[in-house]
Amino acid sequence: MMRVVSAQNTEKLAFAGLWLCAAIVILPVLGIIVVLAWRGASALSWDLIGGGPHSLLAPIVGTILLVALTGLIAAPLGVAAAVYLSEYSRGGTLVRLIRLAIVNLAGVPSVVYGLFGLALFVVLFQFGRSLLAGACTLALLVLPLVISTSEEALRQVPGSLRHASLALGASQWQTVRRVVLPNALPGIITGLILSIGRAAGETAPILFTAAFYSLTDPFPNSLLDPILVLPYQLFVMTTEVPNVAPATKWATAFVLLAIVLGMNLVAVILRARLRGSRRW
Amino acid sequence: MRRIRQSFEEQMEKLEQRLLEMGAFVEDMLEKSVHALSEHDVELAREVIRADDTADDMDLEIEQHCMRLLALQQPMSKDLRIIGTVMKVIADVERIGDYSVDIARTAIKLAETAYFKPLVDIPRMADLVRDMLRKALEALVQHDLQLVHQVIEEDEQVDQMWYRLLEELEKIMQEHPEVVPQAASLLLVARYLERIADHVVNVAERVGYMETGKLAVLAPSHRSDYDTSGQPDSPG
Amino acid sequence: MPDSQPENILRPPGEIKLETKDLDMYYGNFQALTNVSIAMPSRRITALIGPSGCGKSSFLRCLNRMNDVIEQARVDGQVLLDGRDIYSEDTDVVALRKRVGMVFQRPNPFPMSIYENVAYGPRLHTTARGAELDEIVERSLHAAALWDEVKDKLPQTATDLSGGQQQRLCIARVLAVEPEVVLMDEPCSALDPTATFRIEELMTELMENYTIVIVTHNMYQASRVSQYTGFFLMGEMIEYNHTEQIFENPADKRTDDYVRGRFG
Repeated sequence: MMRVVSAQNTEKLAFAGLWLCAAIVILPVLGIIVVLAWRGASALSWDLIGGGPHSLLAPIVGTILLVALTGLIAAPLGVAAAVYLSEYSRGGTLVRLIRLAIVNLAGVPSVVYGLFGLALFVVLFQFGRSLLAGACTLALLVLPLVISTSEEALRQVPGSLRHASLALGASQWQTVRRVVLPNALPGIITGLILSIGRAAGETAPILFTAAFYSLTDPFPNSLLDPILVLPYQLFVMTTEVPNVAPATKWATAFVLLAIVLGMNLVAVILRARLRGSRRW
Repeated sequence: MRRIRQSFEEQMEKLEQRLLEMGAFVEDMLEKSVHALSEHDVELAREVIRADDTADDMDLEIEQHCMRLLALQQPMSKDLRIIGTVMKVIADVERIGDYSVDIARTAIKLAETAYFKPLVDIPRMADLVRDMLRKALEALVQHDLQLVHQVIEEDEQVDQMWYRLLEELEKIMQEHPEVVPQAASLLLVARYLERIADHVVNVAERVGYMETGKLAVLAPSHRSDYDTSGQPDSPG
Repeated sequence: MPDSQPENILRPPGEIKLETKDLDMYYGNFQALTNVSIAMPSRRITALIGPSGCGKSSFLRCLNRMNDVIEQARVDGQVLLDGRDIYSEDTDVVALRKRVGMVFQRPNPFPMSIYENVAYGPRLHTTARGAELDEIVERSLHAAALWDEVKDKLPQTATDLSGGQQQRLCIARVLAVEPEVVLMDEPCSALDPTATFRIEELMTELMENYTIVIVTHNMYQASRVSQYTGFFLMGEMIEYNHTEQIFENPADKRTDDYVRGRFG
């Protein structure tokens, strides 16, 4: 009895099918970029980003400041937690509890973070609606991501290097500091950038904790000042404010997307370059 | 499924087999040479002389086999001792072949001589020596220490026979000077047989080492403190 | 606790550097080592042989407490370095590992320069820097028979070296710390024969200044380099004696079967 489809053809079919599935992923991304650019074309100009009415300069600066501060808060906490979990913990109930907490933290809806941030940072700590409160809230949001990507990066460092260090009479901490962390750094950094890239696009957490649609002084003068941020601008623009040209809305969305995609691109390039120089 | 190192074990067995063959061949040479001597059989004697070439070939072949096993198989412990023993034993066996040739040459020399009395002691001594050789090689292949001890005991008997023969022939030569040529030759043949027995004892001692891992001189006659006083050929 | 010297375990004459007494080791519920008591003499090479999984590597790791790193590992009994138990409460494990160094099966240089690899230990334990550190690095690379090959490329990444060179680098790295004992866990198993012979030659040189304990699954290597050999089987030390004895005329039949390759 003859085989209807030969092994070679099955191979080709499988390859084509899988390739198609992978290619499909690109379509939405391309689609979004194209649609946003096309629709917002008429409003996209340097004016939009620079000074002038409906300028996005303040929200862009606000977003950047917010994201930077988030990173500054989340990074040491997250990396330290990851180091503990990866290098020091020895199983047991406490560690299991910590991991459970991390998983749950990752599952909390972002609007809940916003409310929590409101209650804790804005009201209880009396930061008010501010850059600081927003950054703290966002830091909580991205913390699980930072921890898991950092842990992953730490795990990538082969155990043999740790053993070599310990066998030379180094303490655990010396080993972490001199061997493990430096080698895990590329992975940790890219994870960090991806995390804060995500934070850049979040709306709900900063809804009550940091953002306003318009401010008398659009640029913050201190950490406790409120800010304008892109996602919130976009949100308000599309839902509440009348008389905004559609093109402007699309253009705003495009700018936000560009910033987030830009950060991801930086992360990818950075990882590739850092990885190239380290081999084991 | 083959046992671990089965091909190595097979090679070792083949080695021991070849050694037995060489031993049997040389034993046959000995038997024929003494027979040629007592029966004045020149053709048989010549056969023995030619056979020595084969014995030498066997010696070289077995030695080469041993060297190859050492180089390629990294033998340890008892395997190593077996190979070392075989290498030394073939040297002794090859010497026994040479002595058989000497006896054969004597047979040719005395071919026309009528013996003053029929040869009895010499063939008896030769039988004992051949038995010793057979036992020694058997001991090696069967890893039998009992046989080793038997060989040592039989060597003492051979020595006794040698001294008696020496005494007897000395007397005959004193009383009947006309038979000195044949008596002298026969004396040499007896001496050859005694030397052969000595080589067989060497073989037995090496088998002892192979088994126990301890090198030892087992035969009393091989020790320097052996009391030779009262024996015909001793100085004291 | 048995007091008498167990049979087939020799106590070597002369100075004993490292010694175990009734050493048991467990991974969780599994007993990896049972009642191992052997004495490893100073400035000699002691080899530990045995089939895979017999516990020899576990034993080696007990000697510098690298088993502490493994979660489930538990040790009973004593390991005496110059007569003092390294498992006692007041032992400084970090200082111990400086005195008892280890070379691993697969070469594991840090992804740093050759110089920094060798300097790693001295940077930790000494205040030597600059020219003084350079001297330590050079000395160690000389001792590991690697200096001539790398003296012009010290800043190069260590992972660019060949397998054999990397292993010698790891040895240099250990020597830079100035240990008294060097433990080697199958140091040549990942290397080709030429590299193996070079390292064996190196071991013989190092023996003059260090006590060496080597685990090897290649008994021919043990026969070539060591003065004392111990045969491990299923976590027990079956026989421990001069190397010549183990390979020419072992006392225990199991040892005999193993060295003759008749193990089944």
